[in-house]
Parts: sequence; C-alpha cells; structure tokens
Amino acid sequence: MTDDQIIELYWARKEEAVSCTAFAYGRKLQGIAFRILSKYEDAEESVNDTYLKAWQTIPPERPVYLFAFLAKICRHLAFGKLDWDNAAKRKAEVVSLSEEMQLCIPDRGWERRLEGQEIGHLLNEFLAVTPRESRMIFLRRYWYCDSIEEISRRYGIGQSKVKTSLHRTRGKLKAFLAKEGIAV
Amino acid sequence: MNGKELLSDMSYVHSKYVQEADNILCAAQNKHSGVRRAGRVLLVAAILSAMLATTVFAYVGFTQYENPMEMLRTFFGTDEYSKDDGKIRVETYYDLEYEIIEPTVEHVPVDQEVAQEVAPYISAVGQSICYEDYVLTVNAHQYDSATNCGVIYYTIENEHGVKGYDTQFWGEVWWPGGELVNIKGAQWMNYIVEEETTDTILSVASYYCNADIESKQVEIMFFFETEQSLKLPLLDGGGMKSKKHQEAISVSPIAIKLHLPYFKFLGYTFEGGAYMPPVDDVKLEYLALRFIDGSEYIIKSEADDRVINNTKYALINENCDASYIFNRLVDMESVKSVIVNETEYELN
Repeated sequence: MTDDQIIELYWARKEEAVSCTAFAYGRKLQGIAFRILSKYEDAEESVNDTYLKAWQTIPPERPVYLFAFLAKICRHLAFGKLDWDNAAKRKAEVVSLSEEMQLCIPDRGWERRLEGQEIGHLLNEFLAVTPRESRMIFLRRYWYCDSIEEISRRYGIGQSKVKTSLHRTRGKLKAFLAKEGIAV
Repeated sequence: MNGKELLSDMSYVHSKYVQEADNILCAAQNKHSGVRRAGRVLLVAAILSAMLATTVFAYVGFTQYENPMEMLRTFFGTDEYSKDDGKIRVETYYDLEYEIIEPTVEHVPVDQEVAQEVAPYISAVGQSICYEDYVLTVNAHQYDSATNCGVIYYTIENEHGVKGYDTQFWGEVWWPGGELVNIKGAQWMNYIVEEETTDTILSVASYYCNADIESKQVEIMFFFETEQSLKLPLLDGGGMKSKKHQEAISVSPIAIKLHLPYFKFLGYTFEGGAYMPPVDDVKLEYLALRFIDGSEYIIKSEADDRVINNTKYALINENCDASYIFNRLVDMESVKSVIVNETEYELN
C-alpha cells in the first residue's frame, strides 16, 4: 500500500488506516523511540501515541512525506517521555548525543531566547547549505539517534569518515549559530 | 539552550531532510568499495560433502562444524565460473540524477583443496534464542584472527512467516523498517542463502569485519530483545594459514586487512592522537592479489571509471584499517604479493 493510499484511509476515517500505518512503519517508529528511551515498553507506548496523534491530525493534515510526519511525532513524544536523570544513570546513548550537541552551542555571546520552532527554522537554514552526504550523516546521528556503527553500515562508509563528517558539521553548525547570536 | 534542548528540538527539522536521511546514500555508496555490487544470489550445492571427518580440535571451546564444505561452497564460491559486467543506470533522487555504475563481479567455483584446508576452522554453534514468534539459530561461525573478519551462518524462523526484509539483486538482505537482528562487537553485512530460505525460514550468511578483539567475542541478538544473546567467541581453531607484509597487510584465505596510513600516497595524517582520513575521498583505486603463476585476483578496482568489486563486504574502521572479505577462497601457498594502486608489496 502506498503512502497516498494510507493517507486516503485517514481522510475516509477508516480504522484500517492505523493498522496499515503500523504494518508499513511500525518497526521503524519503534526503532526511533527505542533509541531515545532504551525501554521497549516506553517505546511501544510512544509508537501507539503516535498512531493516535496521526488519527487526530489527518485530516486536516495531508503529509507530503508520511513516514517523516509520523517519525517527527514519535520522536517528539519519545523525548517528552525521556527521563534524563535515569538516562544518565544508565549511560544511555542519548546522553552522549546531547553532549555532542552541546559542542554545537556557541560560546557565550549575544543572548536570545528561542522557541523550539525557531530553532527548527535555523536548523533548516543550516541544513539547506550543508552538503547532502554530511547532512544525511548528521540527521542519522542527531535526529534518528543512530550509533556511529549503524551509520557506517547504513551508508557503507568507514566509521572514521562518519566521525570526521560529524565533527566538521558540528563545527559548522556552531559557527552558524554564533552568527545568529544563539544563547548558551 | 543546551545540548539536550538542541537534540530534542531537532524534531522541528523539515520533513524532507528526515525523509532524505531515511533513504540509501545511492551515489555516495558507489564511490566506496565493497558496499553495493552486482552479484548473483548465492546458490547452495545440492550434494553434501563427506570429504572431511569431524574432528574435535584440542583448541578449548572449539568444535568443528559438521558441514563445512557445503558452507564454504555457499559462502565463498559458486558452482561455475561467471562474470557480471558492470552496467550504468541512472537514478533520480529529489530532481537530481545520479549515474550509478554497477561493478563488474567475477564468480568462481570454490577451490576444493583450499576449502579442505579452511574447513576445519569453522566452528559449530547450534544455539537458539527467541523473540515474540521468532527463533534465531546460529548454525556455525568462522573467525579469522589474521584479519579480524568472519562469517556467521544463521537462520530466523517464524511459523507465521518471516516478513519485512528486502533482498537486493546481489543477494544482500536488509530490513527497511529496522534490523531484526543485531550483531555487537563487529560490523557486518547479511546475504540471503536462497536455497535454504522459505516463507517461514530466512537463512543468512553474515560477513563481518573489525571484530572487537578486546571483548574476545561477537554477540548476536534480536534488536529489541537485548536480554538474550548468543555469544560467539573469537576462536579460530588454531589459526588458518596467513601471510603478511610487515604489520601493514594481512592476508588469509577469506580476507585481507590493510593499515591505510602505511601507504603514504593515500594521504592519511596523524592528528590529535588518531589517524585522520584525507579531506578528499580516499583513493585506493586498485587492490589485487598476485599469485606465483603471474595471475591476479582483482579484489577491487576503480581505475578508468570502471568499478570491479570482488568482495562480500568491506569496511574501514576508526583505526583506518581497511578490511575486505573475499568472494572466493584464496590459496595461501600460491599468493605472493599484494598490489595497492601501482605498488607491489611482497608477502611472507
């Protein structure tokens, strides 16, 4: 079943829209949530909440990229459930990722408070001028929360190349955010 | 704003970038060896071989696999010689066209004498773990200590059907929705064993590189069920024959490993306590084994815009060691040197 066909089921308010969504993308969504939460039950809950949210928002939404639409909801919900203190105790991968992201925050300068969507707008501006390969590696690491090994395997490139690419992209993002006067 | 907030707010990134990262990096992959290659699906010989007696080695914990010859014919050869000539196809991605050059691949029958020498170094496993309705059974494991590479031979069984995987035309198996099985302690690529696969059983040869020597094992498990795993010790039954060039090149019957910084013309630098690849792509354009009769086994070549790829799996690790698992067995008695680009390195 294509994405368009699944979206039509939502618009027709047919309940099989959810089961078709689960069949098409359930495992991928579970993977996203699991990487953030590291607990199967919590991940499962995030995925189920994603289906509910999709049912509630389509219509009026008609996503162009259905998987990305669902994945964004799932990721947002998973981070909402994440207990950072607990994650730190378990030395979860997501803690390492946040420490890496900290490297993208420029040194103290002109301070601005930003809402999440405004940050998203800036990130999109940055990603638009980032080379495709570097952008994909960056998204896999900090959006999908893949490990270096998983990125290396997915794209068939060496781990050292993945790390080098991430290091350089983080540096560029830091410079970009500094130019925009982002607060620490 | 801090790192946690920035990580969380990545959720506001535009969907087109999220979708883009979910796809295969088609064009970039073809710049790198051993990743995407044309090839026929593996065939399993119908004839069982009784050429080797089962012998329990004195190597503690190592029990020889009972059907090694059949496994080697499946994983490192074909019944007859054939060659897939590289084709050029065009793929469109986000309104951009990418020219994908499919590599030329040579398929050769297994050298029976070499197989006889290698077979004793395949260990029997015969253990299973479960997740939901799935049963993962590891039949055999082959590890090569000279190159830190190996092969795991396993099946996934589900009486309701094994679904959700895709098979590429060269035989690689992957799970678009996320891998069902994970291997820790190495990096790997899976190939389907077509003749043993049915609706309810998926049979897999998993080629891996960069095994974690410090942990002395690789672990295979279901991705979502991390409580159980099968631990496969990195035993090689005493060690297959291998050859070296100083400490920079190691060659065994199934793989080769090169320490890339040793080859100055590749441009690796040492910065901050680690080797760094050059800013431009690594140009290891030609890699081959030369034999005492003058013939060559071209492992990979990207010279003259023509891609040849006779490997099962290739990887460059964080130490800048490049490993290539062969698509055939190599006779250690007759291999004499390694050609890297235009330079020949003697083996001993």
